[in-house]
Formats: sequence, structure tokens, C-alpha cells
Amino acid sequence: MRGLTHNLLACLKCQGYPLRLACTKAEHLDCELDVEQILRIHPKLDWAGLQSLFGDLKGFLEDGVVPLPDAAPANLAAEEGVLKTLHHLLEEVKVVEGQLECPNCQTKFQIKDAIPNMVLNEAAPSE
Amino acid sequence: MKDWELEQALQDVQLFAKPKIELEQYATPPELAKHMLMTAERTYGDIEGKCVLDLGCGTGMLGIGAGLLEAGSVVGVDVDPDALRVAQENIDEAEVAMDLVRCDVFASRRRAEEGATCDGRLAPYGGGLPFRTAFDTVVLNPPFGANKDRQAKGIDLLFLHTALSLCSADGAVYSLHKSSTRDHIQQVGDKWGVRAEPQGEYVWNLSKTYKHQKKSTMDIRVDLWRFCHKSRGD
Repeated sequence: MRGLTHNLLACLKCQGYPLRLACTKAEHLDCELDVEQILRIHPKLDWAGLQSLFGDLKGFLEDGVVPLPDAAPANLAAEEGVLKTLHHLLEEVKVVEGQLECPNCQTKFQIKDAIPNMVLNEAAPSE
Repeated sequence: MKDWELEQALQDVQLFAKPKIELEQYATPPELAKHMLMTAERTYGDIEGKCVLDLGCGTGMLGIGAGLLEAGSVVGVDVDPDALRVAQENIDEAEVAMDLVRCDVFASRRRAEEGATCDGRLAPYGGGLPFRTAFDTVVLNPPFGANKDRQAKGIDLLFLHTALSLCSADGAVYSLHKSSTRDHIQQVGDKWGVRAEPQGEYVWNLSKTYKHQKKSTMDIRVDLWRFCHKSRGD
């Protein structure tokens, strides 16, 4: 799972968002920054979700990544640093092992081999 | 990318190691996948740069094809962990930008419909699947409900309904349905208030996948459909 998909995922039970991520293993994919592509998907992104992910993935991001501003920049095309961060966060960091947790109902979803398991009965055996 | 290049690349997609009959796992042939994706891209511009969902992705044939046609992002969902494992290998091999999420369309749908009926209008959004927003394009090769004893009747429509509720107002859904159900699909489209446009009929040669199939190969006729919300203006 890359950041792009995390930004779309909500809790299966209650639609809680954004899901908190406790990552235990991540890989870096090698892909080129495509500014056009980032600008194209930008309107679909949830900024609060990006910030939450940025905080949760701090230890797994490459050195020198600039933090995201509090709100989406009005003119993203001119913000080179933010574009680089978005590219890294959305497309380059692949979460391999970890756990997602709903901010509302605390339901947990495991991530194994880069695949989040959003099937309820197995994701929450205690219930 | 040319048609034959896409088809050739899709020939490398590994199929189900041990297909599961209860999930009606029949891999989409590369040629059929190519027709679907090229129709979506060439005729309607629905792949390149778009957020694409492959609903019931199996080992990833349609989603990987969308990735090869430079979709902006692709998410594949399936309930079967074994299929997803193969799909992940296929994605790594093809080097496409596609993520996988394990979801149960059938169970989610039922949850979404508790206390409500499925006919009439579309569910407001999501069909019970764990996404906060809709996708630009949804591609699917749904189970056709061939196993009458498994209460699977209408399961292709359940998948289609879920696909439509996960598709944005200006997006589109591309799906395959048995040609024998063409009139019914058209009626269902009308009932749900969506535009249902057949894009062509194809012969799908099912090579023998399961023991109960008596013939070693069987041809079935399938229609490629495009569905979109009536608000989309093209």
C-alpha cells in the first residue's frame, strides 16, 4: 500500500477517517516525479489525511523531506518542496507491514505483504 | 502503447494457481482485457491519468492493464488472499503503480443493505466498501452467477451495483456480462438511472477450469458494457 491508497481508505465499519497507521516495515519504490500527475490527482486528495500519514510515517521517510504545510497550497505548481514531499509520500513509500486503526471506533486492520486486510471478521477477531 | 503490445504484456500476468469455484474464479483472457481497456482509453479517455478501481481483481489482469496504460493510480480489491498474493507478484513484475486491498464485496454489500432493499436508486456511496471517496473509473469482470446452488444468482448485478456506487458522477464503469442477459442489463440500467451502453460482443473461450466442467473448452458470449451516471455529459 502506498500513500495514494491510504488517502482513499476509510474505516469499513464507520467510515472513520483518516486511518492511523502504525508502520513496522516499509520499502522505497523508485519512480520519477511527474508534476502533471501530482497536480491532476491533487483535487482528489484529502489534506488532513496526508498530514496524518506524514506524521505516522515520519521514521520511514527519506532524509530532507520538507513537512507539509497546514493547508493545501493555493498554487501547488510553484511549491517544489511540497511537490517532492507529496510524490515521496504518495508514490514512493510502500508500507509492507503494519496496522491501520480507525480514529472513531478503534477497529484495527492488519497490513501484511503490502496488502491491508479490510475484511471485518478476520480483522477484528475479538468481536 | 499499441493494442498488441498491451495484449502481449498481459500474457505475462500469472493466473490463479488453484481457482476457487465458490468465488467463480475465471481469469479474464488478455485479449478481452485489452478490448475493455482500449475501449475505455481510446474511445472515452477513461484510463490515462485517472484513479481506477479494479473490483474483484483476482490476479490483477485488468488493473495491471490500466497501469500499463498509465492510469494515475490503480487500486485492486479482492476477497481471496491467494489471488492477491499472485496479483502482488504480477504488479511487481509488470512494475505498474497498483495497490491491493483485501475487501469482501459480497459481505460489504449485505452490510450496506441491512434493513434496506437494493432496487430503486443507487446506494448514496460506497456500497459498504472502505473508501472515503469515489473513483474516476471502475473496471470489473464480475462473477456471472453460474452456480445456481450457491445462491449466486444476480451476483454480477451486485458487483455492478457496487461498482456504480464507487464511481464518481463524471466517471464510468466498464464491465462484462453474459450476452444472454443483455435485455435485462439494459432494464436494470434504466431502473438504476444510469446510462448503459453495450460496446461489443466477444466470444470468451473458457478453458476447463473446474472438474465439473465436462467439456475441455467452452465458448461463452459476453458483452462489454459501459455504464455512467446520467449527469456525465458525453
